[in-house]
Amino acid sequence: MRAEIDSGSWLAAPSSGGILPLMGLAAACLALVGLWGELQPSQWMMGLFAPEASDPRQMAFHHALLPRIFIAPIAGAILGLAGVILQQVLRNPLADPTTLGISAGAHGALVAATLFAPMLLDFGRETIALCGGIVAMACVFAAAGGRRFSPLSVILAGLLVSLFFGAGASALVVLNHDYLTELFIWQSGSLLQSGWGNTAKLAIVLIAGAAATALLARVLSVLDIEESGARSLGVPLAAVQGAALLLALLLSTAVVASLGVLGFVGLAAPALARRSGARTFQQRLVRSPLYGAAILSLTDQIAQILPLAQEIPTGVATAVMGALLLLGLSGRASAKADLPAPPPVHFDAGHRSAFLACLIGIILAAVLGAIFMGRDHGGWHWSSIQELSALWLWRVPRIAASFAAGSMLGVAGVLMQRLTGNPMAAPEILGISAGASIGLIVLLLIAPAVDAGWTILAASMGGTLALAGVLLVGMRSSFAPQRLVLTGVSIATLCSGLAALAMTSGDPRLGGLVSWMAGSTHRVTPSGAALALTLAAILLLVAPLTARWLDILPLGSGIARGLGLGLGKSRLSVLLIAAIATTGATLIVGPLTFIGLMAPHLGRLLGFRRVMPQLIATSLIGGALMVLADWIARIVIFPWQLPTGIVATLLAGPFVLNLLRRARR
Amino acid sequence: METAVRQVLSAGSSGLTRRAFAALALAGAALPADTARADAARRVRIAALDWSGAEALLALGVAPVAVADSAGYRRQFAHAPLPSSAADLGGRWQPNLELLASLKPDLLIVSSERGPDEALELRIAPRLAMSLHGTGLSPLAAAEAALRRVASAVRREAAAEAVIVEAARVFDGIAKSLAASIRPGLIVAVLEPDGRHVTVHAKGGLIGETMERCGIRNAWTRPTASIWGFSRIGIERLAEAPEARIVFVDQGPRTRRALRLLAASTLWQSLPQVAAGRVARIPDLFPFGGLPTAVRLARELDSIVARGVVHAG
Repeated sequence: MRAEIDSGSWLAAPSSGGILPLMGLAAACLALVGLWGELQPSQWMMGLFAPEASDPRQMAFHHALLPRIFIAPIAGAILGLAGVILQQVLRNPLADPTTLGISAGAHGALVAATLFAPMLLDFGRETIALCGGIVAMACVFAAAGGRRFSPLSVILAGLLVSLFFGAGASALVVLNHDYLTELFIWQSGSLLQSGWGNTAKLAIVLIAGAAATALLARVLSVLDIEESGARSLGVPLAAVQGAALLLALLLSTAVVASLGVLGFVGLAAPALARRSGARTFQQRLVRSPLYGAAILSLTDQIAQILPLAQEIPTGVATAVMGALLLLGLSGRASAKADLPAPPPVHFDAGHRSAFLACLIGIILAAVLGAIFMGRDHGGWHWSSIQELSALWLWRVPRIAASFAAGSMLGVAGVLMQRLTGNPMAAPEILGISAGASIGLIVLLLIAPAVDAGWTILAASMGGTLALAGVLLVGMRSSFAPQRLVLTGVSIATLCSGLAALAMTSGDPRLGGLVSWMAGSTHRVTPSGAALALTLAAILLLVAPLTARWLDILPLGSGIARGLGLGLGKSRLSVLLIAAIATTGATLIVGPLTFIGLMAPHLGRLLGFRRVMPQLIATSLIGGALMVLADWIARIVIFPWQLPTGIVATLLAGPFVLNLLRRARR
Repeated sequence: METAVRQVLSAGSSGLTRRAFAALALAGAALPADTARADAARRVRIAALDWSGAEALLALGVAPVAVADSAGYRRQFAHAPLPSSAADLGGRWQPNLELLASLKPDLLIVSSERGPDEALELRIAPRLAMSLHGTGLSPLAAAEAALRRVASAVRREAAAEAVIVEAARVFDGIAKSLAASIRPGLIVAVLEPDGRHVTVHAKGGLIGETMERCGIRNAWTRPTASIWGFSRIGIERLAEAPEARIVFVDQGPRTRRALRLLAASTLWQSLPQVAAGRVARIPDLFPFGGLPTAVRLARELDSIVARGVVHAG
């Protein structure tokens, strides 16, 4: 299973000269202009060394402006260093603290500590962030099988882990709205400083990190040769790799702890270093931190001068930049070979009808349980038929809509996994869910009041535009799966950046957006549920029309072409069906669930391996899972409710990670 | 009646006490012409999914049967205490409709921003939307209009007029007392727990509007990013209004953490306002509340201004 990003074509392509001096110069000029705006140059020495405490301008110059100017390149260099180490150890040009889920893990740990054990924060944010980062990276490794995994699969695992930790953090915030802005301030990484403390801390981290890297550099550079060759040189490879990973973790989580999440600097810096002609590891090791410093300084300066009433957090700016960069990478990623389908799991075909019977039984039990079982102030309560006449309106529509959404996600998941031949492909990676979220955020930001119709329109338009973007990028490669995945990841990144930007505004309506993005089903009406079920049924009828393509596409583009399949046409049709299903589901349960990822595998594990049976089984399984999630969401913290989408994500997350791990065996 | 209301609204600068508020409720109920209708109103079961709606009801002497996120309400509306009988409906953005329906309310008070839930909520009871924002009215005028609408729904129009008149009297009294003095401006801010940001309330929101109405000078005059009248800035920018007094909203653990970090910050310590000790706190309040919130805020700010007043005469 190889999905290499062709490192020969773009990433390592030497370009004329370096843009490093240019970027540095631009950042320095902007910084000087900013300083000038605060203080006359004649007072600079005084402002730098001995600020007059009674002069606010000198104090701001000394304690806010200068530290910010210095912390940007320091943090950028740390991230660049972490990125180049991660990329070398994992031999993956897409590795970076963000794509590996480290930042999300660190951030999630900080949110949990804020809510549950604020006194821990006083002991040291760094330790908490490091623990979170280690857990997240361990998950990615467990799932992706370490460095033997292909770059694309690692980035997918990282995205899933990021989404999982993000869902956990959102669940906490949905229940603690007071902390909403806080969560997003950290997620959108701000470089604003109010003293030299952070700057000094990060400077020490950088120096110590550079020293540690120097110790490891010689051994790490051996990784440029093949691993077997390295081993024959008598290098204690595993120990060095472990140490290097720990170092990268320490570096990147220290930045998250001090400044919040500044995504993709660690991805961009080594990429630019390589592009500037740094061929050996030593060259990259020197240039990447420099590029990181330049990137973050320039981004931060530009974010400060944008003529907006509210400053754009620097982390949002780097996320947008990262999304564009990933798009650039995806445009140049060449598909060396299509991914084959996951290894078959053989089940005795004779048992299949028994499985199906079991499955239908379980679904009936789940639906009936969800309808009849509830809580009131007296405790658990199994309703009688008579009581149900008063209750059905609050239970049946959301159960039906959840089933429809789960079922559509299941169908979309089967289509996506067969189309891309990647067992980890999920409807989420199409970018439609993220696009729908962007549509809604924009609507909230520009419209004073919103109603249901506008919500649906904005979400659909956002989803459609995102899909159009994915298709436009994909067209050039006849919708090659690798490019679709990277494009989808870019759009998801862009969405999280925009969402964080909107959330930091403190708009009181954003609570509604958060609850929608987390997937609340409580507002589903009977007619809405009927519509959702109808759409799910139509899709389930249409999807089998693509069955022949779906059987052939996973075999690889060569075989598919040999069998006379129009690659572009068949992929486009499958993609469109998956897109409609995803949009429908996103409108009901929000942009994130993992159900579309999990259900097809459960279907396959139960032995439904051919297209038609898998589609039917998966839609039933997806629906049942979502009904279960919705029931848990409704009762677990009564009278409060959790968003269904979050519960589904948290339910499915461990399973999905386990799945990733097993797929490597 | 008049005296009872005045007694209530002048019940101390630290906000209305529980007892005083009960007196207000009684005052509303004791209006002779209203007595019969008040009996009817007492039997009306109203659920408030919107906090400013719950606040308005309580100001009119009607206790809601249920409130969304009642713990959060109690934290931010100390001046309008909720009876312990009120049920908790869960999160404001995802209220438990099944529980709500089982309480069989006669009327729901919701936020105008929560449009999409309309269809389902209407199956439970008629809705009254509190439109405090985006109405084209100033926040205070919108709060008065919203109070009147709630009052006509529960047939307590007279009580609403009494609350509005009394609020105007409080505002005018403060404005009059301050007119004769040179007064320092205030910056009303929320200290963000990262120790680097503050959210300042400027013109446009309820807080800024209340200050303007009372003649309390708002020292933060920069245009704001949001239509809600606040923006988030770095703490160093507070120095742009060096003569002002910084008034921070005490939000409990968040604010305590911010204060711990700020205590260690040279920049914060060197801010002219901080160095001169011109920092004051007010108890937590909901920046999107209604008229009673504005009255409480006005009193609290007034007492803070009074401490810093230099009499011109």
